[in-house]
Amino acid sequence: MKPINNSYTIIVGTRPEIIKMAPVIRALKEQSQPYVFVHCGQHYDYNMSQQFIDELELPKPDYGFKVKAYSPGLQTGRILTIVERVAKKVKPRVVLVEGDTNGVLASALAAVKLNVLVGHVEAGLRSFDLRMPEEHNRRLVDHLSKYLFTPTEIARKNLERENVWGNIYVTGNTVIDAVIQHMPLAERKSSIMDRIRFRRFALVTAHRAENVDDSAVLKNFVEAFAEAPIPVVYPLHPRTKKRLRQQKMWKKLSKTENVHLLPPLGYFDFLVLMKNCEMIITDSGGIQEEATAPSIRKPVLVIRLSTERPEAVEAGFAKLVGVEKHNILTAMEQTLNEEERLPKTSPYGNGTAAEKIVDILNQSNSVFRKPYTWRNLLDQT
Amino acid sequence: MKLMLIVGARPQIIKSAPIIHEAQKHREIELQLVHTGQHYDFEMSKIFFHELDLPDPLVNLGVGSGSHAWQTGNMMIKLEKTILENKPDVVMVPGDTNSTLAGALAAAKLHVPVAHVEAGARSYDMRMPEEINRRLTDHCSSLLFAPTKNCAKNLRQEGIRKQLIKLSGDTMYDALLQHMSTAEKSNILTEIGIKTDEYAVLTLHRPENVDTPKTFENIMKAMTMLKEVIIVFPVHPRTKQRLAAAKLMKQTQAANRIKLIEPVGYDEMLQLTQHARMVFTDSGGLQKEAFWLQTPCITLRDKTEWVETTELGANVLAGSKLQRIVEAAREIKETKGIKVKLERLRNPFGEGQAAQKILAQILKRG
Repeated sequence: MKPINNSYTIIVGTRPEIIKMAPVIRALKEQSQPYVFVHCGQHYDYNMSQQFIDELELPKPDYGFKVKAYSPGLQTGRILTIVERVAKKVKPRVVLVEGDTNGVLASALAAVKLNVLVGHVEAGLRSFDLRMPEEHNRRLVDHLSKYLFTPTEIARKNLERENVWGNIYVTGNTVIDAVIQHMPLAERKSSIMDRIRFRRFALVTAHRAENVDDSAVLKNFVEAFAEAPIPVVYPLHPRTKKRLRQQKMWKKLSKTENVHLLPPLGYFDFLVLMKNCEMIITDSGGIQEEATAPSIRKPVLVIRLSTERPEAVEAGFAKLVGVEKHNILTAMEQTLNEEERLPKTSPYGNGTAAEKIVDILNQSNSVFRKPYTWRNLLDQT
Repeated sequence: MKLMLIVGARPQIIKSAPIIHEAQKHREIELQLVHTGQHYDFEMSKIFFHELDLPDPLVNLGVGSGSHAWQTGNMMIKLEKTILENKPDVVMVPGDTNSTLAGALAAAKLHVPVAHVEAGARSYDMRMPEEINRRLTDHCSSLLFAPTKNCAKNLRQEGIRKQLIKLSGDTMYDALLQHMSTAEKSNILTEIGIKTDEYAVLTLHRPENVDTPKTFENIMKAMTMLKEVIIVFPVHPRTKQRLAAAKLMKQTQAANRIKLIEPVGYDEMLQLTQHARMVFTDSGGLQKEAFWLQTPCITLRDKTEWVETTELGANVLAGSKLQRIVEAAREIKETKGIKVKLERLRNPFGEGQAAQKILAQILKRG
């Protein structure tokens, strides 16, 4: 039985959090650091996430909670109480959270309310759009954390501008570590390439509401992919499929020789496709980061009007092409004709972010100064 | 225009009183007063409502006391429901308690604009739960009413947009001015049997002071060493428990210069503070009240969010060290004409019109 008290406590809720925390868990294990792994997911995808944890060959969570909540306040409130219960039992040295969901905010808040120090992985991201709930969560978690692990210099500057009280460390993004660690697993477990009828292809993902809910934009996409200078592989999000049907574009797209539509794919299948494609065309944020990992290294065309990942663009991995058919086609053409000019290294780090995080944690004295040590608060009933 | 005002603890009710009275003057404002029940004693809070002439709250959520996370979580759940049912246009949260944060979070997550009263106060001591509440509330608010220029500056330094910050003055000062005439009629001094200037007031409630027996003992020992003044100590029920737990009850009662009294009302407290030689406290609000009433203050904390008072020399941070407390008290006693000096200080907390300014802004944005 591993020691529980005074361990690092890792709390995850969603699949992206599991992916990005996986390298941290492995680094703690490698350095034989005591840790407690908590899975606190929403009831509707709890079982899938649990299965996902198995697939990534991560240790089983020490605590699991299925949170049934239909509103943000209820969700935050419930997780606060759950995490407090765990923290009282475990007496963590540091609570580690990743990302910007309501669950992350609730977990971090519960910890800090017990005077337990919080470490935020992927700190300092800002869209500067306060209508997005994630933007609130990010800001609040950054303002209550003691350790802020930022993926890039830009993120560090965001935090400095806000004068956060915690310490800022630029570690790189653990998503790069994750791609490196998960690619061999993915290649072993996925057989997606057997199903793809093209040898060379562009991989497309488009599911953001602002794109697929706009019929003009959706039409641009369908026409651009149909006329693309290279075959297109396009795993469809159920939402996108629904919109395509509503707009009567489904038939046209599914009958196009040049386009291979796929159902939504798992993480491993997607990693393998990213590795084997010629270029990635996407409106997702996370994919822009993953594409820069050494085991993928692919050019990305961002089909959006703006991106909160300026580093990928500056480094030359990504190009912001917008949503016009002509621009998408021209950019694809250019990318195909270009000699490979992608930088050797990722702007999101060299895949050692998790190791750095664990080193930093081990080197610091992770207890609040007396007389407010966590022991005071945690020992109270 | 529906304005939901969320209160829970006693200082928040004082801060809100001028806003409530001002809102009652505007017919276009529908005030929805929500009491979270964070206050441990509902009866006490009721008396307080009466004293401040406040309307009954629309709802009392009765959350009660518990650990910080439990309390915040439960308040969020109940406040979210209340907000969904009453559909306010703005949710206003004063101060820095768990009720403040829970209200701000519940509203922000439902995309209801949050207005924070007393925004931007910072002690930069993250071990204080209030500091966390303040910071997080400020960062999910879309209207921030700063009581002083310094508070506004603190907010700017955290990257909060200038357009969202309004310098309003402090509603606690409004409340104090409105209550001075009734406070003067209080006969609390006669009841206790003390005269102006022969006593000092002591209040203590912070866990870091009362939950550690050693610290508590130090503070009480310092009090017994101050031979020339009587110590009037209104005891919070929680503090009383701790006093007993630290085995200090007997000792304290034996020292006949220390007068333990039941918690007092707002007017009585103002009267006591005004006529005291000095004030010893670990509360935030009393530091300001002592400042406005020109009574020297010794704060039994390492840091304060009201640096305005310490920078002007009206307030001294003594922490909980016996020697420092005794020295600070001696210095005050030896300073000649200290009251006159304090009277001459400028007041950075506004002119007593904060509530008016706040509601004018709310109506403008409404």
